Amino acid sequence: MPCREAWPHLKETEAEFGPQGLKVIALSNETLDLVYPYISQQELGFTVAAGSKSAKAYGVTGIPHSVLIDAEGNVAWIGSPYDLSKATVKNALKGAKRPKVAFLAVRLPKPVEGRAAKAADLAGDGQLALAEKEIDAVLADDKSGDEAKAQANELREAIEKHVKALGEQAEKLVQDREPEQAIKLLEAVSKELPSTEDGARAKKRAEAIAADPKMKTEIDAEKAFDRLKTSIRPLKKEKSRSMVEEFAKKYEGTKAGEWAKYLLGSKSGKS
Amino acid sequence: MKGTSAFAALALTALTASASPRVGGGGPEVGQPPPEIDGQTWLNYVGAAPTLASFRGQAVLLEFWATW
Repeated sequence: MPCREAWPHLKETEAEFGPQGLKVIALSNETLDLVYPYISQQELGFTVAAGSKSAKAYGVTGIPHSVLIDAEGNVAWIGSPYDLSKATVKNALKGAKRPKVAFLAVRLPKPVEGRAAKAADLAGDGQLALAEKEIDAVLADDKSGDEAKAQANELREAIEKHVKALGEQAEKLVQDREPEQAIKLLEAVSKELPSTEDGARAKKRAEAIAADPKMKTEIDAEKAFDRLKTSIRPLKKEKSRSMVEEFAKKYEGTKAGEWAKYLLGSKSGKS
Repeated sequence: MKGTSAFAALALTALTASASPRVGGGGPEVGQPPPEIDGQTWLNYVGAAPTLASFRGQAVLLEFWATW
């Protein structure tokens, strides 16, 4: 089982280099009903994709197979995860930014140089409030050229559009019965832009979601599910199975109830 | 006994890992920009499906794996 053996090494790699800007993403072509029970058992913290079709584009012929992409966005190394050395990771991290809240980041399609570059850097880092301040400074500066001003305006529009898109994502998450994720998104927006209309709206919406009885049930179910997952980890298979079954029954109709069904290996929970 | 079998499994893994071809079939090469990543469902990620651009400025380690 070569894949299983690689996890401890990947976990260590992420623990050591994650704070310096390394993002670990595990991609499987298997479906969620196989992937989910497995990763919840392994307590994997990194981002995982199920049903991924990327292996073909990456020419993967055997797994486990790792591809390291450097901070400049080019492939730095290809190989087996066991052979990945710290020196290789350090090299790829040259010039890397520490991870911010990734989903807040806003970038223009073309690199920005000159007077508006700082604003673009801040927005690309997800520091939207500071970016807005810098945009104001560019627009107010008589020495800013037309191009810099146009870029600053473009950036402002992109930030507005992005914040709006995040709001729409939050609503989609509510529809998908993932209120905790929706609240996380909205709280990040309101924390980043506290003194703006968008920020105030996000805060209000997050509070409304948390207060909605239906969503509250979902949140409670998810919390109970997290506790269940922790408590069954040391147990024997039959015992944990009966506990998960009981949970699925008790929380039927909630998202956590469906996740519990995945844990049991049942495909009936598929939405 | 348990220790021995774990060691044997590890040794076997190391053998199969080094024996299996790692690259082929038109994947990206070192120094090239990588193809976009794709997934049906994303776990441990908040927000819309990520792309490599979501992590621009960071290094990314992609791990192709399976549960078996």
